[in-house]
Amino acid sequence: MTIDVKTLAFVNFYAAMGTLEKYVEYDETARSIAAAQDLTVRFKVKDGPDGVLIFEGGKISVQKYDGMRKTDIVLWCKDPDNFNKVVDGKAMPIPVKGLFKTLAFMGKPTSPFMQLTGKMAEIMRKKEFDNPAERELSTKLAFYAMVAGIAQVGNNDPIARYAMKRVLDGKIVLGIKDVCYATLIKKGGNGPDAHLTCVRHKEPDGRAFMTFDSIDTAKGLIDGELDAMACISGGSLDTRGHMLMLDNLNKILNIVPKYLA
Amino acid sequence: MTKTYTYSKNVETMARAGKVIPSGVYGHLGPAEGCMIPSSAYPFFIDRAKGSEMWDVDGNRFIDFMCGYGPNVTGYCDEDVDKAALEQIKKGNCTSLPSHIMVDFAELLTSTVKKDWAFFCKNGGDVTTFAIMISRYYTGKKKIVFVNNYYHGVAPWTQKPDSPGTILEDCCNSLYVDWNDIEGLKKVIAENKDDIACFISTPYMHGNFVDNELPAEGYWQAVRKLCTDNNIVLIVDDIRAGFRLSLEGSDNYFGFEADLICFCKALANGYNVSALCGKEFLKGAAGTVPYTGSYWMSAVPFAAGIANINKLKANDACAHFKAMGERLTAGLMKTANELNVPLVVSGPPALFYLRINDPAGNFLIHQEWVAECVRRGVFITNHHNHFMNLSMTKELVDETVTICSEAMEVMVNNHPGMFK
Repeated sequence: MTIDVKTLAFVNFYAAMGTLEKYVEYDETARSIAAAQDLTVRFKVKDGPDGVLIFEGGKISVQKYDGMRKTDIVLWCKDPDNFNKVVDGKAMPIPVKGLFKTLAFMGKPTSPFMQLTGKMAEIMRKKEFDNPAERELSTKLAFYAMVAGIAQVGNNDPIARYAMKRVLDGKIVLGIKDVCYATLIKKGGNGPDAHLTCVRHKEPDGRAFMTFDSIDTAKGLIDGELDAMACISGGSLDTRGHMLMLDNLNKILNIVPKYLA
Repeated sequence: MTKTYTYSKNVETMARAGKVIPSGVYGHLGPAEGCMIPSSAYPFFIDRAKGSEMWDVDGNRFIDFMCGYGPNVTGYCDEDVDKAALEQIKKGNCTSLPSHIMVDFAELLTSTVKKDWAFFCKNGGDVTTFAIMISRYYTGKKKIVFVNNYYHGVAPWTQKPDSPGTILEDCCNSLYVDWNDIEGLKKVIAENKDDIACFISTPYMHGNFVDNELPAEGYWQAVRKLCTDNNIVLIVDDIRAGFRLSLEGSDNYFGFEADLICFCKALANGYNVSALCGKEFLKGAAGTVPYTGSYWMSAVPFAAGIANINKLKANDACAHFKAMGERLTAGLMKTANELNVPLVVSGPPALFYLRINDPAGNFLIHQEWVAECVRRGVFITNHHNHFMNLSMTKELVDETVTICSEAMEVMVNNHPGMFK
């Protein structure tokens, strides 16, 4: 499968960086790093995502830039490929606003942004864990990245868009039972305005539901070590509701791993 | 209160299956595509079946309204059909020359469905694919018009580009219109003048998770005229509905004539044969397009098919399917009305589709009721139309209504206040 660089940029921003929202919520050290920041960083990628990373009161949120929000730092990337290299640590964006704040924010490995993204990536990629809590954190972060990735891949990948448009309007609730939930909200019907949005909590009035029965099942499926059909048969992956919505969602989900690898 | 079933041997067998068969049970008979929600309510494997009933590996008995998703039309292990098949087994099955009974079967089938020729394959997808190839060869054109919510098999030409194993180029000649939308079809034809090889559709809309829709007055006649006027081959996919609405084929039932019509499920009561039947002007094309398979001329399914069609004819089968479907759906609606449950019945009685209407549009209540029915011995599904067969009796229908009514009461009691 071909990787579309623009889609990858959206995944990197909203799904990968976006998971910082949950990382600082779950991890005390990460939260203390975030709490020391109080600024809004805009990533402006030509022909790619234009969004803001907001540090406020020890929380992080990642949003689309609305044209109104006051920013402390503006980082410019000439194209999605350039942004993807920034995310990989192989390039630096051009700071067009807040040069000194940029240097403090991400100028060296010990800078807060580099620490947060580096530690989060390390935990998410880890295969051997020091304790169950670390394994649970890794799985939860991977879960949120996966769900946010579905939205971005569905909205941007040329093939996944076919499936995204056919998802009926409404909410699809995904979760690890009694642990964490996220909701994908589809709007815009089957036309050019069709799009998916990810919110990192359980919304009411879902039309379709996909629930892993445990951290183990979620981890096994996300890592590709378990067979989804076997999990459905055995009841460890519960799918219900409007199954045509999940059917199309699964077609997007099949494409997501190549972007989150 | 009816005892609810448990499935320990089913689960054990599925665990074994998962080790040696992809997905354990793949496709529409499996828990995922079969929308077995929750999977704990459903059996996975059958030990035996007879008539309209089946017994799973745990010994649980089910009255079955899925009929193998269609093939069970005369009744599981029907004595007349099986006898014909067993007699043919003794004479030969997959031989170096076809048995003469292939001709007998073709004569019987073409005279029954009022077409000029029959071409035999194995599965529904074999004949829909062949129909597309014939239409492209005959017209010299390439595009296919589909009706949204369609299902014509799993070959790449039937899929969308996002389907695993399908590529964008497989779908670049696909055009889509809505069911019953003549103006939409006119527009598509105008926009693709001289490019459209065929229009393919089921005789009525029996998509999954949607209320089934019959053709509007004059719809098929208008489609027929548009196809004729624009040199478009009109293909009817009668794989699911064939021989349940009319033994003459669903095109004749709805008062028009298809150029090509695809049959499979109800053709031989579960013996593996499908057929593409067509009009004389396409016979040459059907003989020219290269298409064959190792088992396509096996004689046993032909013998079964002959016995099956003759039995359906002799017993006025379609009238029986309709009567049983009406009796069942009337019984279910009576209970639903008494319990204030907004049950919706759609489609022809022989192939009824059920849905409990819920404001959230999420099928959860409906899936809960269906699961309670299955746990008590009525095998129905929440996503697909159902099937009647010739062995269905009033007694089994009434037993079904009793079980499904109890299941509905259980569902209602699980949600105090919801159905007032």
